[in-house]
Amino acid sequence: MVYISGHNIISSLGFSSSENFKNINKNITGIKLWTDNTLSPEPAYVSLVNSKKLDAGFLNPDSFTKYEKLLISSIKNALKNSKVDIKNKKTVLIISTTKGNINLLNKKLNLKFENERVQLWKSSEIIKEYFKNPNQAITISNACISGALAIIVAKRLIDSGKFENAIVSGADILPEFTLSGFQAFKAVSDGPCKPFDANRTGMTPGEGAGTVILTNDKTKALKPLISILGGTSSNDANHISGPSRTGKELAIAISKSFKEANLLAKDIDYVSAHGTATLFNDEMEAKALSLTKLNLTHTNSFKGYLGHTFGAAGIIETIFTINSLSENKLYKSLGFKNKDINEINIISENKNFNVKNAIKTASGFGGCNASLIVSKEKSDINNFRKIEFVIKKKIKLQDNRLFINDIEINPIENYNDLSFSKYAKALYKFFKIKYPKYYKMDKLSKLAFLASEILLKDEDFLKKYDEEDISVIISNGSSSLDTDAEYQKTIEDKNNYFPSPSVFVYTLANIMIGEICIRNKIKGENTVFISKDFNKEFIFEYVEILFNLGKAKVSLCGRIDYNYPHGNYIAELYLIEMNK
Amino acid sequence: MEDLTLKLKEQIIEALNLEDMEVDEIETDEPLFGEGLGLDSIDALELIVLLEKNYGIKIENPKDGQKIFYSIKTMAEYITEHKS
Repeated sequence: MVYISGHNIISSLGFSSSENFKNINKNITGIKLWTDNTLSPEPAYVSLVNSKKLDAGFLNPDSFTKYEKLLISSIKNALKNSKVDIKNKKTVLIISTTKGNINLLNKKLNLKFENERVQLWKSSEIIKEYFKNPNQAITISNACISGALAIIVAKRLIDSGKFENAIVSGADILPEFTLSGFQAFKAVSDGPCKPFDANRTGMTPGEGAGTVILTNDKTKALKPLISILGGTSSNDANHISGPSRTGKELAIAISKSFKEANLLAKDIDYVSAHGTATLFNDEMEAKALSLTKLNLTHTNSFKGYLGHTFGAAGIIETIFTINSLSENKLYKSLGFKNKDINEINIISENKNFNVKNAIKTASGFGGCNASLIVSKEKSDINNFRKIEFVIKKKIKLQDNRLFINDIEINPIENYNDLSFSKYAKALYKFFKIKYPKYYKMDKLSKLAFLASEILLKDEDFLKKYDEEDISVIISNGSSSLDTDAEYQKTIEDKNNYFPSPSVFVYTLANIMIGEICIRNKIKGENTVFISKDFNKEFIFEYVEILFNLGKAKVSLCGRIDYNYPHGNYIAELYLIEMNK
Repeated sequence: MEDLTLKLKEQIIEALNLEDMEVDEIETDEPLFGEGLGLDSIDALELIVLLEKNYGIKIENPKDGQKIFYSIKTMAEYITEHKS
């Protein structure tokens, strides 16, 4: 059983959960028109955290980046009202972010931090050291579901007995990098975003941090007792940026969470949706809610208040959901006026309502979806069975050398002299792969794609499984930094400013999973864990947890990393199945 | 016009990483999206950047792209009409 022990939100609406709750209750938005051209040549509606106020909480504000300060302030504040000890060996620190310190790539900002700081694992290490947490920090970077997924991972690690408490903290800043990319995608709204409104015109980018502290110890929990009953991720296997056209895969994530929590749609009193206010995302969500019989359930999106805070969004919105449960109150979905054709029950005014069970959903680039159930009444059954796994096949593709089941085969001549791109293309031809999309991929996705093709070659192994029972769990080091740096070049020169959408779309590590899922029609659990080195035991342990929970029956898992800035690479991929 | 269509084909192959394609494999009149080259929504956005970068033409509403990017021919006609 996993209970809520504390929380904090830092956003454009304030530096504490209560300040944010107060503003939401008054239906105030933190979204403002921003005209400073250091953020974007064109004015844009955004939701930003006051940097001066953030700095005021630090004796030496210059020793940390804004991203790190968001995490530190949020964790500090959440710990204040919690009995959980962050220095305890049984407490794990889990950090969710999409881009971390990405603004350090912009050399014109003259930020005086070591280059390594742009690595997501490095900033997580700094946070861990700041709070003297004794365990290795777990970093999750899985596009816009990162925050929700981090809470799900925390619950699983506690339920499995590996830890007793978890500090789950997510943050993202809004630099020119992110804003320009979404502008290039023509996805940014020309006013504050209007989730689920028939006349919605796109998303509003934002920044912020959220922290939620979880524990299995009732005496450390907040009153009223609120627990996380279940959670699931899924993949659309449709497109790397566009959402599913049917909503079926988000529906998979919702149904599997119902099953885990032993609840039915009628038991759910409230849906805290993702609701980015882009045309296709909201349409997809509405379809998924109909498919899962939640179309009459009270639903809102908090994006009209805070915009999209990316890696923080799932955590911040889960905290708002917790507030609805403890206050018995539902909050207006700000920006919604006109009903859409895909009708769902959007909350148009604040109202008192006894919320016993709620579901939080999230969806993101790479085709990923997540759902998690928050409850104040039911207690869940910890049904951990012990299921072992077997490794069916292993592939290692490292710096132009290829191993299948630990035996080296080198089909490419002069492989030592080739660049990655040339070597990869030679492999693509050698294995007679026909997939024109391959050429559009960035290096990380090409690497992941090739490794998975070779792993699954000549095997109809996956065919005996349902698409939703196949999982892809990847450990990665440098995230998408190699491509991030390439994208940064397209926005560096103000006289030659052409942000490239086809480069920007690859600036998330989990896009590689999206590519594998599209190619193989895989719709199950999917996660990118970031760590400096490959912690194989952790990845295997996590896959075992998925098997134990019935969330997957087979897994493609391992390490896929294209190092930045050195360019050395590794894909060590395993095909693992349950030992029945 | 013929020069422009040839140049456009080269630019599209480069911008959209259509590595297996040669210029003469792209038909001037055939649809670029759907059946034709199998381009998708990200490619459409990249074509908007291509027009702005190489021809100084700005397309504000991505929906306008549907008509403009129908084929190489429609693209060339639009460029000839709007080039500053």
